Amino acid sequence: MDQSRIRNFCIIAHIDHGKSTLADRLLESTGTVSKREMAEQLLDSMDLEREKGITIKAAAARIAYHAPDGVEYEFNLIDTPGHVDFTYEVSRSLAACEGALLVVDASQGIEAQTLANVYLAMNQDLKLIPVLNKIDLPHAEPERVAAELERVIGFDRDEVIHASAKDGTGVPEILAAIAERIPPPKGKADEPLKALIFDSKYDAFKGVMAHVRVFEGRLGGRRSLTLMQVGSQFEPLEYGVFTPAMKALPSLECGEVGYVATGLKDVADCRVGDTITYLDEPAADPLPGYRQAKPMVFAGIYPTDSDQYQELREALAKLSLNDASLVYEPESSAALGFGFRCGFLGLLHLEIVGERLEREYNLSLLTTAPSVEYHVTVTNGEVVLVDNPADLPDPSRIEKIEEPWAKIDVITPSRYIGQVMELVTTRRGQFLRMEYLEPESELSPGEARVMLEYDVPMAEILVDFYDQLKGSTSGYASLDYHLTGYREAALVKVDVLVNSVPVDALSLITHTANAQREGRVLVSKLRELIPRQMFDVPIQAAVGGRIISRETIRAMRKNVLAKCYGGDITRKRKLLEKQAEGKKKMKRVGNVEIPQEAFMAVLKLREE
Amino acid sequence: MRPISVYVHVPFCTYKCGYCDFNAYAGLESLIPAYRDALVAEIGGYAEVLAGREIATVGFGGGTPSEMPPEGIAAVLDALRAAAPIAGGAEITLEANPGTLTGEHLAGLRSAGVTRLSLGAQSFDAGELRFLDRIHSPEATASALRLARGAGFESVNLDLMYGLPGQTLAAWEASLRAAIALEPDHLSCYCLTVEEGTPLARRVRAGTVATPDGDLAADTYDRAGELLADAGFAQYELSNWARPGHESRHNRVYWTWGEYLGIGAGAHGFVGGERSENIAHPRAYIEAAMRGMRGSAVLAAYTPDAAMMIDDYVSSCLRVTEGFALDAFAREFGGRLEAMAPRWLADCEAAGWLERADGRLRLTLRGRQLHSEVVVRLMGALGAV
Repeated sequence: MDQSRIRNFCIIAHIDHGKSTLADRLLESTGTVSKREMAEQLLDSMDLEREKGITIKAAAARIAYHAPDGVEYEFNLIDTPGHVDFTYEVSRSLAACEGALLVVDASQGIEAQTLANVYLAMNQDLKLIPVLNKIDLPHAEPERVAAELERVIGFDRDEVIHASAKDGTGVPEILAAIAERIPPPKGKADEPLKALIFDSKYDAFKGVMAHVRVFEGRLGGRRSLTLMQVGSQFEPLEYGVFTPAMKALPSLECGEVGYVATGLKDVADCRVGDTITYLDEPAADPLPGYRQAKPMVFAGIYPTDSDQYQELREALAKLSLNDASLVYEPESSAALGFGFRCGFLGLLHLEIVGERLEREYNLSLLTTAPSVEYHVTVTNGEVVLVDNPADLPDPSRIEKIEEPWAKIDVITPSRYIGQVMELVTTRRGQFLRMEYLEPESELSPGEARVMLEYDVPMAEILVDFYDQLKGSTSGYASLDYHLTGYREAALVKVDVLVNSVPVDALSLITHTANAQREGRVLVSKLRELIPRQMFDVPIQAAVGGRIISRETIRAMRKNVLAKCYGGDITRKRKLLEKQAEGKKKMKRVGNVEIPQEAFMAVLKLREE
Repeated sequence: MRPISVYVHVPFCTYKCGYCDFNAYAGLESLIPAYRDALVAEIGGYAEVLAGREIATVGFGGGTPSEMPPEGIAAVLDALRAAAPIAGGAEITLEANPGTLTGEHLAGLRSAGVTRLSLGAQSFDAGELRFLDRIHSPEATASALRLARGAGFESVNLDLMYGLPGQTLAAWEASLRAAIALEPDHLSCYCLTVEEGTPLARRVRAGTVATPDGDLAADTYDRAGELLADAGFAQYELSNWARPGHESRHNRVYWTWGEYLGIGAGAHGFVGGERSENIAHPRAYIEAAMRGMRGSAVLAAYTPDAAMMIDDYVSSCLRVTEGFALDAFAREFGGRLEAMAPRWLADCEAAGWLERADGRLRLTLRGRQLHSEVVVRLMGALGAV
């Protein structure tokens, strides 16, 4: 295909604003995939997803577009991950494109994460095509949302395409706009090869499949390739494109999108953002923007039943084949036994990984309270990275502690500004600025959407911030966050002693001002959650050896079946077996049996 | 041959109480004659099992055995006597509802051979009795006991319940004192258990009835022990106290690893190491039992494995205050309990729940309220779960 007829684009949209449906419609209306195939493919991929636990649904698709004027185009649609945790991956997908469809639900308006992605796209000079989707819905307000897009992003009103991916309205206009408005790729076919990796998947037969966009030169033949950032080398096994199923081709030309089967065994050797070039004729510089995705959230993952440790190890190894951003290393806890300390891109990532481990690998897991990574300067000047509260050095050895901060954007109807302010303030947040996304004068009071910006310590938004934000705004608020840097803070570790024994998995790091309250709440939660034991069990919270809170779980007094009726021992035994099963699920720490829920108590400190 | 005991279940009640989850039915009285015939037929089917053995004790439980006319009870006992001799002076005990007894009825039971009467008094507080859905009054219990004495019953028990929602220690003491004042020979004090699936459980879940307070129930139990000791009753089982010579020999069979045949709807038996359970519904039971073959009314039977057996043994034998001889355990199971579960034993002794004396293992005074906890821990130690 003539390079001038290639259009590389992606779709930016909030969850549920109709990205997948629109993508399906584009494939269908251009005849890339028939309606029948669409249905079959969907079913197939779901089965496979279930079997193999990987998302197979097209990550990219080549679309042949016959314009009404008879000109033929090659469109490459590149999928983007849909969540804030994967901002870096999104940025690489955007980097592979010259343009993007910005899809906004005509009844909802633009959301915080979408806006964040719009800014990412604008920074990379992508041509944006605004699409108002779902205009067929009775409560759609296309004029109002179009005005918002105009005001917030600076579109002209007549640029905005009104569409309904569901019934196909606007799809021809969208296809035409892609051809007309998005520029063709620039690069030169005779330059040394530069291909950007924007995604990678592991295949048991062909090794890591790198999804690439060729920026300079062309990709073909049997010549050895190298990755300019990581430095790994490989012999390409196969080239091809996505139709959206993979289809082998002899080469990928300048400006095109496709895949390379690398034969590499580890996704870590073939990271998103890296640049592929020829070993014997390398490009001078790699493409800009590479960085290694860095975990921001850490948690311990332990098997409930210690016999499942090996299975957990194998499951993590398999999962990380496809997820270079998941890091893990063995960890042991006096309370929980052997497990793994895992690093995640964000909370959603943590949740997804935990859920997949349990569901796809049939494991029963205990995940400890998530933690950020603290930079701790100790007295000899050394900086120690601490991602597990249990590992915080003794206070006497600590010079200073720095914690990660994030900038958060919240978009909400203006009537909830007070609630959002209050929530963020209790999380040690600092207000930065506020911007009306639409003029208040034209709407009923409190309805105009406003964007609020704050700086907040990451640790404060880790656990239940999003839920509380949703709760205090009747579900209207949307949130985007990104790490901005580290700041020194007065932080302390609160230790929990159960029967005078410190329980590592229960300790937490918190701001000095909150230590007293959180220690008290934690202790009283634990008193509720830990059943009565053989003897009185004191539960204490301590900061640096000083007890800040104490409660006692009284020894159990009564657990007896009054009557063994008419010699019915079987029934009695069933009742007792149930008790014994429950006991088996508890973790024994010293002489005390602690149920799993107790280890989650740290997550519930804000409920009171 | 070892002597054997017989449990006979009579599943009929005038009214089924809200806390009760036993195999009991109200409104099926019309089945009583057929049920009596079924009991006789079922006993006939066990002729081989009973042949050559002596019947040590017989217990009629329910439901409400006093719903069955004395002639019915007599017919059952006659059928037993036809299969095996009942030991001279054997205890034949029967549960009765104090609200429905007459002198004539009691005389009939006495002449049928019943030696011991257990009256479901439950409480001497009219409000508590209403809460429990009982059909009798405190006065009815007093009068039933007098009638029983008049009919010649020399051993009479009163059942009491404690741990009722809202029951104060003082209210319990008053009930217990009223019971003692009637001079029964035996007292059973049962803690109310909110059983799944009962109307009471639904009321607790709905919040219309408070969850009983466990600590208060524990205090109540301790208080019962003191008052009964003062009144000359000795505790011999977790929930049972008796004047000297009036312990229930029939109930002891369950707690001392004795063998018993289970006759009647839903009855449980333990013979030759095998545990069995009969068909529960009276109608289905009658149909099956009338076939008159050995085990024709049995719903399920199994022989427990070693770990279950050990747990059952310890569980049963620890219910009696004297516990069990560790040597006897070793003879029964071919190994010493001290070696099978050393940590369990050490932990429970350290907690002050178990004690060893004269080669026996028994619950301490404190441990008596933690019997289930001790057994559950043994299950864990033996890997039985």
